[in-house]
Amino acid sequence: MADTNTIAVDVFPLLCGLVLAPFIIGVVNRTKAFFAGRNGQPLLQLYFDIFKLLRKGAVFSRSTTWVFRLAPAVSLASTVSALAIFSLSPEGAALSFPGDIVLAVYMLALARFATVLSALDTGSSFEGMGASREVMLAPFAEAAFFILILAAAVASRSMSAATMFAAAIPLPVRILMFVSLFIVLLVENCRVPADDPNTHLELTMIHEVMVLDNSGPDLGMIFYAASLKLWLFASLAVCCIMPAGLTGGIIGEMALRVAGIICVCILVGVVESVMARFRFDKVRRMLVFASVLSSLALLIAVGVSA
Amino acid sequence: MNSQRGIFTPARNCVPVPLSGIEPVPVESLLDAVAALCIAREARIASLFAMKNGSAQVQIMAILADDQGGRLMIGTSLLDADSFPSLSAKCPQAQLFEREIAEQFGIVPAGHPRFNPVRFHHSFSGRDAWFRLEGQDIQPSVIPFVRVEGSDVHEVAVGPVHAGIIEPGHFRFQCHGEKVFNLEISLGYQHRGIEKSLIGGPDGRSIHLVETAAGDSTIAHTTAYCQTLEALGSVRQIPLRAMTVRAILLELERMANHAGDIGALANDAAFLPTASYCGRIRGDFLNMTAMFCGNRFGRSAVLPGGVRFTLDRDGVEELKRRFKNSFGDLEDAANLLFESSTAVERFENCGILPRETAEEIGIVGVAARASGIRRDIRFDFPTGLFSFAQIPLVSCDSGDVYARAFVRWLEARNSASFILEQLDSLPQDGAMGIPVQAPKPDSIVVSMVEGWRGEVCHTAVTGPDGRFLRYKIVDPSFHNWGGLEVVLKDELIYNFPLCNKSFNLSYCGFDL
Amino acid sequence: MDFFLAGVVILVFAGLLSFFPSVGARARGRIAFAGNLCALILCGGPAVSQLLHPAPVSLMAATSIPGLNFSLRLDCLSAIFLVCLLMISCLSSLYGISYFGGQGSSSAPWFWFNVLVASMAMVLVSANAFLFLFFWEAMALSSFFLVLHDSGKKDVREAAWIYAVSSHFGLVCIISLFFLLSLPGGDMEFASFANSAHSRVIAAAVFLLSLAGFGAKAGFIPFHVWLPRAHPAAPSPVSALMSGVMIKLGIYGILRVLVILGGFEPWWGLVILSLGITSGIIGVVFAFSQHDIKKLLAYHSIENIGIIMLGSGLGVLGICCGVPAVSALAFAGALLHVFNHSVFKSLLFMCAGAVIKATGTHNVDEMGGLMKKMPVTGACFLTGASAISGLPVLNGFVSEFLIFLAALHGLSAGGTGGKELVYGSVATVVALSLIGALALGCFAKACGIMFLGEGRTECCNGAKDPCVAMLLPMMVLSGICFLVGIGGVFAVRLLANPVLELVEGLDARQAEISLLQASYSLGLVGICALAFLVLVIGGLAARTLLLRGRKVLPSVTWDCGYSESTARMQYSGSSFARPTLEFFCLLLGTHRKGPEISPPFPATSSFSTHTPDFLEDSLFRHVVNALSRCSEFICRIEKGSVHLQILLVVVALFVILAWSMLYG
Repeated sequence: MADTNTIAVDVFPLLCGLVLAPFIIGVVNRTKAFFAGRNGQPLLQLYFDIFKLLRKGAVFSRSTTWVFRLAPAVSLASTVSALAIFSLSPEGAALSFPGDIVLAVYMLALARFATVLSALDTGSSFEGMGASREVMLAPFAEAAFFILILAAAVASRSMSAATMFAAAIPLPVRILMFVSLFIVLLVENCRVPADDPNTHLELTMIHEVMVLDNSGPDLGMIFYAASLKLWLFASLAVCCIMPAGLTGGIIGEMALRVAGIICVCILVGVVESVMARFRFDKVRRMLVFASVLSSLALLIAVGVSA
Repeated sequence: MNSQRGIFTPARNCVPVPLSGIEPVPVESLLDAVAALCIAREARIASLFAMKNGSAQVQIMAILADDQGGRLMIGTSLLDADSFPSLSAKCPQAQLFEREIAEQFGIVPAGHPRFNPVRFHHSFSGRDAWFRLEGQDIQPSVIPFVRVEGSDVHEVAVGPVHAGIIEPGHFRFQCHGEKVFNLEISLGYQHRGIEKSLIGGPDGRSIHLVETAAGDSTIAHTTAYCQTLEALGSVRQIPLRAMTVRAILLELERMANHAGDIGALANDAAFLPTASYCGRIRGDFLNMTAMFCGNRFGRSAVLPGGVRFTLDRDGVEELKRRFKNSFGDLEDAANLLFESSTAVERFENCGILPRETAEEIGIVGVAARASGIRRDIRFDFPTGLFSFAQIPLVSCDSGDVYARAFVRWLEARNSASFILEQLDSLPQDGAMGIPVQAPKPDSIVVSMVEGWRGEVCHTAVTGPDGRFLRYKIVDPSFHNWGGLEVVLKDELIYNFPLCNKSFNLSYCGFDL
Repeated sequence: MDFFLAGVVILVFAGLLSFFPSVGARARGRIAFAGNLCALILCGGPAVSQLLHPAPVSLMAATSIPGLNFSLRLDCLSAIFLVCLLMISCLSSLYGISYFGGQGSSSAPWFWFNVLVASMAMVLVSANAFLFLFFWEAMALSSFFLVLHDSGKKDVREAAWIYAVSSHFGLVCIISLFFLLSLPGGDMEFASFANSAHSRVIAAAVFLLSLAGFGAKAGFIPFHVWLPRAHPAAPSPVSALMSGVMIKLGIYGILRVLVILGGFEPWWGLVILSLGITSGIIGVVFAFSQHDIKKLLAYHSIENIGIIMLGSGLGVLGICCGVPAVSALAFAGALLHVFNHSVFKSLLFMCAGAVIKATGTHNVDEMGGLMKKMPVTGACFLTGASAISGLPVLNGFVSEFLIFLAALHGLSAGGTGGKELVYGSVATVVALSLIGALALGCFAKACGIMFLGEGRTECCNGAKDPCVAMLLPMMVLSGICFLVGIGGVFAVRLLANPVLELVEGLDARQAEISLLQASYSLGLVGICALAFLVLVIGGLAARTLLLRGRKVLPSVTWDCGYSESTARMQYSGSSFARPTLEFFCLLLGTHRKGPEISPPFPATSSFSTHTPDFLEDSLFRHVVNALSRCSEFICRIEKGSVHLQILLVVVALFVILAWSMLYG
């Protein structure tokens, strides 16, 4: 009985993520609307959108092959896999083993690979453009992300995400990790100042333009995967600064976590409202800056643990 | 140079010249003179068009504007052959005009460096410069684009259907990575045949055709049209009341569009606050226009001889109140934008149009002033109220997106104080218009108005019966699209939307 | 051992048979393939049994020549390389039957092919320095002739010469290192090398010489210059064999020398590590900038050799710092990557060969849309590309995962392991993540531009899948990619023995425990991979269900409503790469030519890019020039005046006199 209970506790955060992820996109949008002096769309808009898309037919370009049809499922499945590793409960995660973070990061890379290939499969110059930009930013985002995970690994002397963030990590390291992760979040989730999810201009977008030719259920899957990715990064950011075990039960813990995630999303909305978008070379510089912050966190962690 | 000038007949804005006073010269010497004056920067082409005169012979008309001297020059030539030597290679500002002549009358500008159709329609005369058959469908924008060869290069084809709710046009980029080697723009999707329909006018339809030449510049185009008819109809001056209303409407149009453009630029830089406020503020200004005439774009507000509507004292007070509010908001939004380092960073050094190039390709309006060319019809060729009350001319030297945005903002500020001033002195009595006589026969008149985008130039040529032999409309966009092409060379492609918005040119004003 | 030798003899014999001009091209290919198949069975058997039950077998036969004993030894380390070799050689020769089949019967280089395989097999089991050198040279020569296959082309001749020069440079280093090793014992047996004690300086010299000598074969930077030239020049089955296996023999050599030397110093690990990082990053960046698909793959070989070096370097560091977990995992990762790379790189070269045959071009930017025309080749290439990018579910991930795990162990060992280990681990993780992301981009380019979208030139129109004999090896290799990717846990079990051989001297128990832990992780990775596949299939099924009864329309790719879209309106590979590569522009030094655009009336113009190899251009060209100037100078002295020569003799005498007085 206790065993089932533990499993339930470990799986609960994953379920929360799977259910609540589209909601936080609504939070970002409402924040932006507030700053623009509008009411904004309903908080549940993305659920409606996904639901609508799932009931629609689809259009497939004749230029495309099975790669294009496979990609949305692959990117959704790999995002879910990564989420399973990064959805942390106080004592564990849905999936946890030494080195699981490597799998999670590579799962996200797989999602990227699938999206980039499906973009190239359409043979459209717009989508090629988005793919090329995605590939340009990925190495730096991934490096920054890996370094900050290393910092956590060193500080906690552990090799799995679940134990890593639960351990006592010194506060400066946590703060540096949070800032760095937040930058990576902005870039990886196509938010201003790295990308602009609202200006529907083919020539300037990154993520949105790669799915220009997707429609119907495929597009629904892509939207859902995108919201899961935002949830993943936001929840990690929360784990960076919020020590585990503030409340007793899993429910309380999760409620606190969700509140934290909503705060992160509001922060994203605020950043989007007060900043213009960067030039691409500056986005890259911003990622290098994030890597520097992560490295700093790592240095401190190494110093503390030595 | 004087001998070159001698070919031309001097003229003034909105003053008719009898056709008999303009001596036709051989086409070569006319074009040589045009090129010489343009290259020496003594004048620029305001309009260059062909027409069928009474004897069904094709005649070329060249209207040059000498901004410093405040003078216009009209030259003409009768064509015997079906081609003439192109002057575009020497004088790039003529290139679109020459292609237009070829498209409308089937006359080939021999040696044109970029000889493609402009609007993809059949010619007026039945003679086709590209040997397309009479009934044949013409595919718009299917032309041999300039290519950069090599397997490294890719092309990006944008349009006619765009990602935003904007007009159709086709943009062809030759790129490597993000870098643009060359941009070629091909429009024509919005061609409605306005110029062809105006031949034989004026009639009841004419003013409505002109009003919709470019919907966002309705007041400017209609004013230009009315000034043409007034000049041809021997009206020396319209009543002060009408004159003031026209000026206020023109500046309101400017305010609305400049506010919209500043917002759109902020939007393309993903700078949210200004983008969302300016969208609303633009609407406010449009609604103020609607207070005058019931239409947000000022349709039916201006008519030959005067204006149809004005505001009473209460209306003026209400307008002033609303105007001050909205302008205050605009001030806040603009300050927010120009004080945001991230937004300004995007604008600066993006899409630079050097002054020399701008002069060469004959850029007008906001874009010209942002490149440091002090060129403004309200200043150089004032008509109506602008002959009495002047608005300070604004210019900026850097020629980048920032300059074009900032010039817009400064102009909006100047227009605002002008509007407030004129609202105070708006006469409450007197006629709103005077009758206009039938147009003089065998005359030519050039009417220029500084619309919000730049110079709107209408030229009317009447035949012996006082009917239009030709009514030529030149929207500022016709001069300026070339500027956008130049600006994109070696620019990064993701800056295209910003550059495009900073010019914000009209597709329908170009396509007519 | 008898079986093994029989296999090698059959291999050479089959090669000789195929030398008879009277036999047709296909038949000769079949004979050669049969030889390879026999070798796989006869030599592979002992190798696999070694891996399962380690019990080194050796054979010793003295000869009359002093120092040269015919001594062979097959241990776990040899076995793992042998397995790669025999598997790839067999599949490449099967692939080669049809690949060379269309050509004139005299041109198929089967003899050299089999000699190459045989000499590589013998290199792997040689336990005598002379023997080793003999087969090493045989290997170099036979591969030289294979590279020279299309000797009609100038590029090919140039590539072959560069290859010959660099392998002989390597040979010189290897000869000197064996000489140094033989100093204490005086004989040429590996066993006596290992048994005798070497001073610190000698050991360091041997280590550095092994890096240079074997590095010239492995092709890590800066000894890589021959690689991006020889691979495109050689026929595809040969490239597959060379890139898949032959360059790994360089790694084998280094590891063998490390095993012989026994005691290491931390800086060795750091040197190997930094060579690995340099090769990995520079390799992938240069690969990204290539137009020629085979050059691209060749640079990726450099990158992957870099990854193997990363693992080995970390392993060495682990041994020095006394952390068996790090060492075991890192060596396991490196060895598994040796295997994995030979699988997916051969796969990719075979696919590239099929594509080049079908389209007649090497240039990626002239291809496009081949997935529709060559579905099987496309799917295989995609598999290989995903694998080499280290994506989960495929084998590349498993080996990179092991190296990551080693680095994480190194970090969590923290201060106890020494600071070298911490630095090494951090560098490994950062480098691996950068390399992984860049490789992903590069293979997105290769796959996307070659196989997806629409054909860019006419050469794609007639393309179609090659015959089954060529497809079969590709499919087998793709299958292996998936199998190892999901069953990584079993692969680690097989690797345990060679790894334990490498970490001799450390606590074997702890090493074994860490390997067990890793196989626990890998088991979960495998389960996760299966779950992932289930999720993907679920997603596809869900979509099919959702779309049932709804309108599914074929249409054009969004073209903005323009009526005359062309294939030029697709990203080119070069365009795709440019934003990423701009960051590395100082390193790459890409030449850009054109275009001449002069507004407002630009004329039709052209543009091209070319990325030369930086070391070839900036370093080796100067070295070679300096050498030739030197030799010219010596020639001049030799032919010069008698006075000068007498003076030189006198100077030499003085020097010898002075030296003997000081040290004598």
